[in-house]
Amino acid sequence: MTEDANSNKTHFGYKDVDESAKVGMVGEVFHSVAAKYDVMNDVMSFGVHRIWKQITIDQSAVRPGHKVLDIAGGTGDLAKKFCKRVGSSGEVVLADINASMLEVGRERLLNEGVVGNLRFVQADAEALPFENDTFDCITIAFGLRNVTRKENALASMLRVLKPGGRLLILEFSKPVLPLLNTVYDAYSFKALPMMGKLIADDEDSYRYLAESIRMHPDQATLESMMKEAGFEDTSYQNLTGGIVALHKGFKF
Amino acid sequence: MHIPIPIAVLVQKAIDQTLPLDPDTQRALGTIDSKVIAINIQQPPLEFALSIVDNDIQLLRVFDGEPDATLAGPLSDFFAIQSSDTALDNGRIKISGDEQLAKDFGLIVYRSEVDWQDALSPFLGETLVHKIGELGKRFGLWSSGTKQHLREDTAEYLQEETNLLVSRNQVSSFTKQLETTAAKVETLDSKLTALEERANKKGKPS
Ligand SMILES: C[S@@+](CC[C@H](N)C(=O)[O-])C[C@H]1O[C@@H](n2cnc3c(N)ncnc32)[C@H](O)[C@@H]1O
Repeated sequence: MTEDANSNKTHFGYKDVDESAKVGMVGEVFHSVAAKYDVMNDVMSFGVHRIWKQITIDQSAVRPGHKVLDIAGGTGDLAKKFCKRVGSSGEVVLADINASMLEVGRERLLNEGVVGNLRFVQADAEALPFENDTFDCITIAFGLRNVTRKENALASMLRVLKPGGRLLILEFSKPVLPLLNTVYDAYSFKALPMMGKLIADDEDSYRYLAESIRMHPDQATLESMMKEAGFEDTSYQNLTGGIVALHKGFKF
Repeated sequence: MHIPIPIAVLVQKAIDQTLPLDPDTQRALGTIDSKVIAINIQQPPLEFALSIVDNDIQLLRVFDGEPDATLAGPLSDFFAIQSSDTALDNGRIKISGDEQLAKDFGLIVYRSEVDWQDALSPFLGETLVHKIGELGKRFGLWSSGTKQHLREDTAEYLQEETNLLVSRNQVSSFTKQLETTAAKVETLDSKLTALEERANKKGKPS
């Protein structure tokens, strides 16, 4: 868990900070990495994040005509694939709290010719500005760990999901093999900020990313949070030895 | 069994390059727009779905929802769909869900100008099992951590799918650094374990 109910403190990576300050700090992190984000993403996960994302799409059951919300959508990897899937009779909404990320995403997707069924909305996952029962599928990839009050975000997602719709959460998690865990720790704490410095020249931001990954709830905890929020038929699958997990839950 | 991700990417490319050569088929697909048809090949075992969207066919490696129709049978009978307009009537391919949709789809394939077997030949026929087996095996490895394969497959996949951003060199120099770090950690880890064991022996009972 990231929140401490008594003190209104939350975690910014390993530093304890006030909740309101966290929103600002998270914003700064993504602001400073936005432009190089795609390159970093590929280098840091050796492109395996694309495979993780494809597996997420596979589990979405999204079909032509569906409405899909990709929260914390960043530069639009998932949104782009969903646009193809839902076709001209469907709609994809890419939501992100950060205007710079949205701008980079918008530019990139326009360049790639993705137009017509895609909308960009600046929104906080904790208070989604959509009607009840709007979406057939909601995804949040590598975004939930940045959200200050995850239970608010889960409640908000449940509200805007259609009955029968599903939520997919793709997020760093707890590696299931002890050795992998150690290596991965070393990777995320040493290699990651180092690469951050090399490529984006922004070591602090990537240190934050590494730390926020370690603070994120493990597989079972996140599943129980989803249940608590009211999701049903919840499950998760570990990807790449649990470095990442894909959680799934339905609204009935 | 599902089609491995890189093969699915290549098959989709083959479809995307082929379909525009046959505008009649594209038009005909409009009559079954927004439908999802699951294909269940039994020999060799292979499951996927086709989604008809905006006059195109999308290959869905996995469809975790309710398809409109499902066709199930041996590969040879699926091949027959293109050579015979009654291939879906002899019962060798089992149809569930919307039977009319399945038959309409069969007719579209039958009438299609494109030789689909040929277009998809790199992925079909005798080599199918072999290729999929090989790639599946190789790709399976990234999760169990064989670094060599991880590096090759990922670089391959990156470039195939995305014409990407990150060059093979960048990826490989990064993975090398990572391997060095990993190796150091492993050494450290075993040293620590040894120290710990020694401490435990000395300190017992504590
Ligand atoms: C690591 S990026 C992930 C981007 C994309 N989903 C991907 O997988 O490539 C995290 C994103 O979460 C966004 N974010 C952080 N807090 C958020 C919040 N409370 N609501 C919505 N988006 C948020 C950031 O702006 C950033 O774009």
